[in-house]
Amino acid sequence: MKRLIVHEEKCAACGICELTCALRHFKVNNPKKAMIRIEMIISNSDVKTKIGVCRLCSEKACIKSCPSGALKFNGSWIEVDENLCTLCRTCANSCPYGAIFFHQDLKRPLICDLCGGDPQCVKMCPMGALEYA
Amino acid sequence: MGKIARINLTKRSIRVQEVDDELIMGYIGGRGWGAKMIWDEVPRGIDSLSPENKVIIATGPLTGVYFSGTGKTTLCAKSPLTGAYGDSNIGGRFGVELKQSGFDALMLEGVSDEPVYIAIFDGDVRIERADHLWGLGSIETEEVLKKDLGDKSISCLTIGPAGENKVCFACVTSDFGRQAGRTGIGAVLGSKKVKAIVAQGSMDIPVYDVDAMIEIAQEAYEFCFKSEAQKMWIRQGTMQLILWSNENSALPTRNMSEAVYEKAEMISGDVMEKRVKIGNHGCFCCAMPCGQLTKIKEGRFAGTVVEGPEYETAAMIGSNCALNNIEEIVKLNRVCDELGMDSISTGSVIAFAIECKKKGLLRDVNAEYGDVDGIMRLMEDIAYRRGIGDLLAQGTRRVAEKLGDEALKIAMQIKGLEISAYESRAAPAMALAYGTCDIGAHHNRAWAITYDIKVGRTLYTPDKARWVIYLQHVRSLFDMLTCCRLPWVELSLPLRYYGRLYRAVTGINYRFKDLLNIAERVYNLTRCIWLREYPNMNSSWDYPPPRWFEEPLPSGPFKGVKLNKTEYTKLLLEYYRLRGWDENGRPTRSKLKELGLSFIIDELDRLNVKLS
Repeated sequence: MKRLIVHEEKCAACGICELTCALRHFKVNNPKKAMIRIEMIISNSDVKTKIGVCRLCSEKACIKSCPSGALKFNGSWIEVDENLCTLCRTCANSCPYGAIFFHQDLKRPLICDLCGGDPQCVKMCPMGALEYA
Repeated sequence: MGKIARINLTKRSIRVQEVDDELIMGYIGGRGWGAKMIWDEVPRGIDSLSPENKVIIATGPLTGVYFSGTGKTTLCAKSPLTGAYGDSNIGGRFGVELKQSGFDALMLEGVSDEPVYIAIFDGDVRIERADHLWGLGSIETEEVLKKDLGDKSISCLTIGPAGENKVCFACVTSDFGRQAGRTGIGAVLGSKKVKAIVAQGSMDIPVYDVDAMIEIAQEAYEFCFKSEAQKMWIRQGTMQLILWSNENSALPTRNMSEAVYEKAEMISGDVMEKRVKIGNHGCFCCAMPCGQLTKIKEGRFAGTVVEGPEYETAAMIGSNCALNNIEEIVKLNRVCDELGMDSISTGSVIAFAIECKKKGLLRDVNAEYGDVDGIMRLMEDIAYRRGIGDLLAQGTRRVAEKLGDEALKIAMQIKGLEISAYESRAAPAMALAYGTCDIGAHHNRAWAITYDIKVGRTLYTPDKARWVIYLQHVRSLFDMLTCCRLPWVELSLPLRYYGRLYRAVTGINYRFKDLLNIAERVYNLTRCIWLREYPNMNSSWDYPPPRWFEEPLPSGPFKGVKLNKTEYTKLLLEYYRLRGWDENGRPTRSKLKELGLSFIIDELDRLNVKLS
């Protein structure tokens, strides 16, 4: 099974991946509608980048915790059934990797679908921080 | 239609206005809007640090859209350093968050009676108390705000103690390591008691033709990704310029008394990469993330982290202060960032103070060239206005004016702004670029030194004036659009992409040439802001300091070369002629009319500024 592998130490937090994702899925210029999210974390003696994106972990707590059965693993990525989703956000709260997002305009959780098997963010990352393998 | 939030700190009122057509069609965005608003609303003669000054924080039509380097925002105000038009741009993500909050620009007016920060979340603007932040460093402030607001994805503009204490070259910091460094806008925020501005938004950024934008962007990204230069920019960023500048006899050394630093190899991009680099930080959607994250791994400053040094910092605080150790430069970079001071002006004023001390012109300077502890102490003294620092906080020119002619000769500034990191005695086009830059001596309006290198280092041919004017329009256009110029400058991304992108994003049918005409309009407008402030301003204001005319370069490939005053004067007059300005450097009536700036003429007439 191929998945997105993230190399946070290489990430420059530019956010090309976010906007590429939002444009690919919703055709809007809005990085907050992405299924991948970058955060720069600073402290007095360190600076790190965190990449939030579904890594298809073995636990899949999101699917297990969804009270309405709106999420399922199709063998390649996690599918969302928008008709069943109640926007309760339990999936996002249960994800240990902070990889599920919501946006008030969109009536569904934002979970990476690997662009149907051809993830665009991987191609656009100038730093080689994303890998599809 | 975009919106501007007018934030009056005296009245604590917030007024949201639509951006009018005149601004959109006639001034593009960013610095174009800032310059027009300053002309319209900031009365002449006011103190830059008084409530009458205004700070305009403006995005442009390209801020936040899908293209390389669209994370830029421009800040404008009347500068406390120069007393006239000032602007500085900043990368990172603040502008994107501001736009996604529903605002294209902010205007800060008046003054608060207590420390505040401004919070902007999805269309909601609030003025919040900032007593708990006052006194903190720029980066510390960002850290505390992120913790307090429980969200690490907010973007901030902050000032440090230097801004609070109205150091005339205090900067504004964003996203850990990005600065709007020049012209002292941090001091203007400090005078208004604004410690920080926080923005976060989730709105769509409107784009006229999304498909066209995606197509243009992907073509341009592909172009950038294929470039060999892109890889080097990611590896070393602007730090690769240290050795280039040194080889080309342009590296400021010991208060620009020299242009070749004998120990440049010790502070080069290679040394940075090997010894301290830990990663990269890019502005929004950048194809060549050039910000270098560094950490000192050993020695007495071990553990220090900073974004940088950039070339300008390593040159002005490094070679210009004869500091030959990369770790020491990283440490001073962090100190300077946390205090919230422009590292270019800081390096300049400190080197100037050290030289003045050596020449017996200034006492009480407890620092030497190459003396990291002394320089660090001076930085702190400046930021907290202690002892000699209180004087140095006013900038090189004011210090020199106090000390007299001998100091003025070696005060490396033009119109009050310290010269950035290109020594130009053997670079007449670059000297002209500094002399005629509309914020004082800054390189970003026309980085003409590459042209000097191409056509001849001691030539004063008229094509140099023509080239400087061309650059002043193209490069300042980037600060109106607002996006980064480096893909064009460094990777040779063709300019036509920007015209195409502008049309796709806005739906306004301007050709690139039309955009350049607007850039010329704004360049004339900013010149007239100077004239309104200083009706007696004449061509003598456009000359570099006497050192470059009188002292030959003491070493290096251009040993013995200095600027030729007669030739420089001829070049400057040719520059004026090509611009449609008179021999005093004043735009002519016909030029102002041609550029749609007739409204300027009446006001300058009233002030007895003689226009021909």
